[in-house]
Amino acid sequence: MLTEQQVNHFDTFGFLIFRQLFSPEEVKTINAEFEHALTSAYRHAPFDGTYRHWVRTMGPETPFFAGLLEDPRFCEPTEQLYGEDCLGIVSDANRYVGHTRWHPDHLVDPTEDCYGVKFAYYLEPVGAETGALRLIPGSHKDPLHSSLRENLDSYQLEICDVPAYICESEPGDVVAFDVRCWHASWGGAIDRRMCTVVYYKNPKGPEEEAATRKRATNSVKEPNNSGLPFETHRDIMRHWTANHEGSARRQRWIDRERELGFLDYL
Amino acid sequence: MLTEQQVSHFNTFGFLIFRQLFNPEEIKTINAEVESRLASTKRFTAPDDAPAYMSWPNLGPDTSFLAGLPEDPRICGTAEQLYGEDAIGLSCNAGSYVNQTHWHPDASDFHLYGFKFALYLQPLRAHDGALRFILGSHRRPFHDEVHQNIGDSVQNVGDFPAYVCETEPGDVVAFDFHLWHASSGGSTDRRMVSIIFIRNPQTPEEEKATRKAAVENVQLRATLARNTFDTPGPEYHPHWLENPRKSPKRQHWIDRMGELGYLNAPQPLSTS
Repeated sequence: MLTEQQVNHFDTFGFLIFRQLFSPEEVKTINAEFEHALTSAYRHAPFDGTYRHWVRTMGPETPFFAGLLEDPRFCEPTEQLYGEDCLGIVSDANRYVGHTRWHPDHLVDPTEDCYGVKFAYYLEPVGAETGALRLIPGSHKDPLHSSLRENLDSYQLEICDVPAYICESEPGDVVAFDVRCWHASWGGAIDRRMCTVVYYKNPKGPEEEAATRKRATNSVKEPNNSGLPFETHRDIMRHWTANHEGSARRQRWIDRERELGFLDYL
Repeated sequence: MLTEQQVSHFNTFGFLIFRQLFNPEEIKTINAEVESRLASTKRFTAPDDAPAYMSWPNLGPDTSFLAGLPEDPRICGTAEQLYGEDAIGLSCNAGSYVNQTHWHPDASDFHLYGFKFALYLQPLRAHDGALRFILGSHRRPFHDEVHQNIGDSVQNVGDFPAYVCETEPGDVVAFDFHLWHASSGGSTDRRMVSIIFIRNPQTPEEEKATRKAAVENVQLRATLARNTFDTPGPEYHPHWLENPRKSPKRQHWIDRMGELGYLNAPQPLSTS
């Protein structure tokens, strides 16, 4: 349960940091599942630092990851911030290559795109020069969001020279940020391991619904950009949508996501 | 002359950093002038147990380099580009700060426009007094949201997410009055020179807000002068007001400051 102060902080600045949300034992499990998930998914093309590897971690081989969307430490703060009917979208694992340029994940206009929260956690300690998440606080809203979209490239600044707040973190820490917030990272190892848990706000009204459908249409193309066979994604998501655990919360998400088109590729 | 990108950077984030705007020779001169004025403050003439914030104007002939800074093209050229060719150079103050500075904007009235050039005389890092900004907080509604979030918080300055402007002597940071800023840590003698410009008010609302700010500024500066000197002098040195070189720019500032109330005498201290 977030305090009123945390809710206000998130609303104003667009992010929150939860220090040591995962216990050392959980971090150990995450590491083991991470290695297993990515190694087995990319058996055909082991990581060599040339491109990012990512895989959804919602299948039977990664039970801890798969349970995170329904973990109260994630879904309850999200319900506080984006409404009780928010939608659990993805839990994933990534091996990054190099820097990440400045970008927001979603557009700021709710009639053009949906929005929500990404919980990001790194499996190594990360600092200013070693791949820590950099955020521009308050950039999840206008006027700052659009001002950055219009002008940031023209400043021709290195990623590290763009003024920002640096979220240094240790394994176990989790950063939650609004997907409209501008973010980047600088430095970091070739094999920077980061995982995310993402939720979207359930759209209200025809305009928001249309914007969310647009996002769904685009996200269906996502599996094709991962370098993985389409079947890998399909099998993971088929397992998740089968909802063997009979979770009422997950079933509500699945039903709504089907309506909105997020699961069309299945 | 600022580039289009610099102007846009200032508008987006609310500040700009000019690295090594002043050369080492100029910094030596500035240090000497600040040192000589600081030596005449209560910090040394009537020392208390705990060092207190000292602040003083530098428009007299005894600090001639500092007095000339508002008219230095590197400074006033920037001000004129950002706030109009008739922008008004209000002051060149110096201060010796003690420890951290809580979060605040220099103005919350959005009919008052202006900015400050800050020049720190020591190298400053995140935890020893470097200026921190809440990026983009010079614009509404974010400015007001930050206000609601921070309020009159006495929490640690570092609890709020900010960009830290680490600087070396010679660097100058220019920032909008409405930008939320603070500093964390710092010594008991963190030295800063500040040069302030305002936009020449364009509308009745701006004129009203600027006159109000003038009244507050006169009182604030008088209080700081009493806290700083045993025998405070005038905020605006007669030599500067005489404008011996007949600078049209300075004369415009003096005339307009007079109209707006910046040159008024402070109200006498209440005896009640």
